[in-house]
Amino acid sequence: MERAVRYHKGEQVIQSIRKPRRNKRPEAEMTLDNDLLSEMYYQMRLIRRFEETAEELYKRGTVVGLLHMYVGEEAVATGVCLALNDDDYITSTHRGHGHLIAKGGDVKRLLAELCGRVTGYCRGKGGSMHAADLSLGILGANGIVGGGFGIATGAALSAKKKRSGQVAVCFFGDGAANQGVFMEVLNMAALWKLPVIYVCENNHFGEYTRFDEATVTNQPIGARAAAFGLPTAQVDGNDVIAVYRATKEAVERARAGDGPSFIEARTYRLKGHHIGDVGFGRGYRTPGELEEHWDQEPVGRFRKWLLDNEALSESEIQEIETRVESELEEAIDFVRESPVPDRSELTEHVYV
Amino acid sequence: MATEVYMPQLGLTMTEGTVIKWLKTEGDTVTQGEPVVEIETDKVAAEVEAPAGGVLGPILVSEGSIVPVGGLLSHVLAPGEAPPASAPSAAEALPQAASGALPEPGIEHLPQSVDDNDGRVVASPRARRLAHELAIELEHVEASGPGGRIVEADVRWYADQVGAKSASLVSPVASRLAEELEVDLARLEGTGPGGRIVKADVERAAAGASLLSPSPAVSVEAGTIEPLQGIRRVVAERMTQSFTSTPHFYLSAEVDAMSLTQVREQLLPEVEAATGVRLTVTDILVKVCAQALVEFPEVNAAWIEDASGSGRVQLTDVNVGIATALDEGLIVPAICHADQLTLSEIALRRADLIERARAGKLKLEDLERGTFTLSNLGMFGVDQFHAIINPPQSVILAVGRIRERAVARDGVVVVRPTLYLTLSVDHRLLDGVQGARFLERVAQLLEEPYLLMI
Amino acid sequence: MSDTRDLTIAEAIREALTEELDRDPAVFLIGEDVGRAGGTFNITAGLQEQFGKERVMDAPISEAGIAGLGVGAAMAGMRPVVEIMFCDFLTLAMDQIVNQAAKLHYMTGGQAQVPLVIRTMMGAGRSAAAQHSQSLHAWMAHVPGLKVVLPSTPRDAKGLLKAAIRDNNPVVFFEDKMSYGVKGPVDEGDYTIPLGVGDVKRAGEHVTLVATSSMVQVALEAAEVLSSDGISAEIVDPRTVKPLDKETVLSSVKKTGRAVVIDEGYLSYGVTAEIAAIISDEAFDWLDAPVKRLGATDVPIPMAPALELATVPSIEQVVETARGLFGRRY
Repeated sequence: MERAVRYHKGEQVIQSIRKPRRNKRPEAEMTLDNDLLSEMYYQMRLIRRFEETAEELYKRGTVVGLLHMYVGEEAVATGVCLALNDDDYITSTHRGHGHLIAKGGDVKRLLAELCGRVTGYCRGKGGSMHAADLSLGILGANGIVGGGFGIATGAALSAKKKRSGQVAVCFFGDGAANQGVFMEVLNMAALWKLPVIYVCENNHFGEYTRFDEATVTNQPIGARAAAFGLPTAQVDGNDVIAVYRATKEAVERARAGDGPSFIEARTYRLKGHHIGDVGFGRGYRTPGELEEHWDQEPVGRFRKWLLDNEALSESEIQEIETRVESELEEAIDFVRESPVPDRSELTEHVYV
Repeated sequence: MATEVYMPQLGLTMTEGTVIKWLKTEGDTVTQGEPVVEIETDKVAAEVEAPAGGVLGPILVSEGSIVPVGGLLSHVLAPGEAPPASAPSAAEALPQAASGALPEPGIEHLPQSVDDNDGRVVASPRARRLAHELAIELEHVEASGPGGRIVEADVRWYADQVGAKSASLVSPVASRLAEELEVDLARLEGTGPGGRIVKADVERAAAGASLLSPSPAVSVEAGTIEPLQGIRRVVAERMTQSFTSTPHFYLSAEVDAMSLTQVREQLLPEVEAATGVRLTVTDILVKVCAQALVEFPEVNAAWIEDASGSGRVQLTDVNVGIATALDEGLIVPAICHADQLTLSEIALRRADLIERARAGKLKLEDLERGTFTLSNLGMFGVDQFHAIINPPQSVILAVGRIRERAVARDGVVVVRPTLYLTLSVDHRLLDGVQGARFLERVAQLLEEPYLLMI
Repeated sequence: MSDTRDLTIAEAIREALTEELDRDPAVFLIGEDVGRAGGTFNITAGLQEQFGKERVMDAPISEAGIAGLGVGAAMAGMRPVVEIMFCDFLTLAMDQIVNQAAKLHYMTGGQAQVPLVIRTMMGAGRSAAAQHSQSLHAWMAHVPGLKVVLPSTPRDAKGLLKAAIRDNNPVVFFEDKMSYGVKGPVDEGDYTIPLGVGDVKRAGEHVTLVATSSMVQVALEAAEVLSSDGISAEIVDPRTVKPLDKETVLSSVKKTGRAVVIDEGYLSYGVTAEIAAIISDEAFDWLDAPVKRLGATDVPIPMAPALELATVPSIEQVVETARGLFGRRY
């Protein structure tokens, strides 16, 4: 992995440059070559291991603030983001580490941000819920449920105006689907045929409330989008390939100028709403429910699929896993060496 | 209804008094006529009495403050009555004369004057700042702002009225002279008592002389300068002022004292029998001068300067003052209506005054009413001297010792007892001839005392 | 120096929008009824015809959605000018403005920029009742990261709006609904007035009237009345409420020694309180009188004209308040 050294206000900021991505792949190409599959596994594994690492560090007090774990949902972020180009936009949620990593973000800088260091993505000012990498089109995680609706739709509007061919993906949860602004943006996106894809990660829980206790289920969530004329898809959110394919379709549609789409990716949140979540494992889950879903968790599932289908060998897989571990170790070292922001930064960046 | 306790006019020339000691405090019950505060003016302490019975109100002026005549000191209130809320009356207390220095800037010199606000002076920050700059104490400033607040314009108005510099630091004469000669008082250092700017300072400045304090002719060790206090200080001030502002001229005459001494000897037992007092030459001098003053009323005058202007004031009473030396300094108690008193009465008065002076028991009226001063240093062996006029009087008569001297008479030298009279005259009030005529008559009466019978 | 001609504030705003739309293809307008209808007060009349539907967009009644779109478009490189018809409706878009637009630059450590302008309307006097008559600019000024502009004259309106559009920060631009017809000289051609710089609208000696938006006109008329009393009033128009040009206000008050702050927001917890506090703090020793404030009465604004007009600071109130600062000597 190459490293670029950038200077920001006289300080050295390490910025990682990723290897060239799949952008060059023609859109119509739907075959899943081993590079792509390997990339998928790498991303999912990286996300999973990152979350576990972050959780550990949180329990040790190195990571501070509020942390919302993406464990169990890796396939959604991976499947969607690998179907996008670097200059496509995404808006993320409060549970946004997975989106950022899958979109090509740097785990070092993300971890540093979680630890409130000045070398973090947001110089320690945003934290987990506001991590962003504008250079990768990541318009930020968001602390407001449904906070990404307007932003993603607006980014899509700008793409349309610029005729750039960019698309915007709005990640949101089943809980956010009940925010009023969701309906507002669906209407406008449909009205103006904006190149935006609304990806609802239905992970079964809105905070501490079960999905079916907060939302009417006579229709799937997608029905709301369909009411505005959006093409909708409902996929198994733990099947990374299914997610990928559904996204690819929607992306093509958007780039072709045919307007917005909706994807509901059904998955399951294997951890609590946030670390330290009250009643985790009790109260809002039925006995055995959690274990049952752990059996179907997406990373292990995909690993198995890869081996079963001989897409990758065990050693190739292990190589990926080793790479992930060393990346995380690097990230931990990076954090250890990273200073906290200077007091003088407090009043910077209020205005441009 | 609140009755004002104010600085009274206790003498012809009194313009201000110093508050020495409060004998009562706020809240004390007082009866009419009961002394409430001791004040000092010029040379002696006097007492201000309660103008009515009641409860003494808040003390408006602290001990040591100099207050102009008419200035408000306190109130006598009916029990339970609140003191009047209005700001001090127009004749405001002048800022306290410190021993030469302006009040220290910076840390709190909280004004003690009263308003509705539990004794706080209500003034805007802007006014306070200006007052601080101009060294004006806010309790002296009249408030015109809403709610009785002192505003900047009030401070400015006060400053314009009272003068850019605190009035007590500039003598009236110097102030007027500075205006005439267009000398900036703010730049002067005063060489008068307490750092007061006096006429000499202004004259020097006008002449373009160095404005620094005159360097002592001798090198003085630090700490050896003793500032004057009390009577001596007042005398120094007054004499300086008189000497530097009054155009003196001097007339001398040698008077044959034979008749004078004979008359005294003859009358001595009579007067003593009648009064118990030994008749002195001074007593006779007093009678003679009194008579002369009656005959020459132009000499019984004063030179007065005040806010309305300056000029001659004709005096009607003939009150002859006798310069008297005390340990503390010079005072001049006066025998009032000396022209109407017999010699015995004069002697009696004189003796009483001197005794009371020595005991420190003179009243203000004894001191302030003189229209003419007689200074006799004969008993100290002084032949002749020029005295400094006691302002605002027009003349002062200096009398030397009676001594046998060789004089010429009818072409031969004889020995006669004589004394020298020297009349110092204020040329603004009298010119040479007028002075001479007066002196001549005095001399005549001394040489021919029987003329007093007619 | 270019020519000036008299324009109304409405015309001046339209001219600014026209010139910016022309100058920069990244600029676009979006709002309810702004396109075909030309705006409820005709401000944007003719713009859609001139620039097309893509540059001047009619939006559905979705304040949150519209504002959110504005944020996203701005982050992605456009310069949207969003219209929220009545500032009362800002409430519907508060999350987008307060939690997103205002904070994104800071939260992302400087990565994101939100060059968004929100144009909205304030002011009572139309009998529009409580939900259409408020002046909520204090709420916007309270939030770090936003800039808040209140023009009072046509010349200021044009220059300030252009500057707002070119500013890379989110700017909320409050137009007074009762003042669209106010006429004044406006320079032809391109000029901007910097944000954060106040203006002395009238020089005076005895009292400073700090006034915003339509209150500037009220203050000017009050100053005329006061001058016949021998009181010479200086009028300071901050123009931008956030960031506030403290220096212009303070140097005026240090000169005059007295201040009355007049704003059409509710009196409590608003712009007048902020400015008065700053004056009391930083010009304390120059004050000859306490600082006075006038604002809208703390009531939901009633409809009936007899009641409504009583809620807005009037010329008489300004005169009386100012007079009350003076004794017989000044």
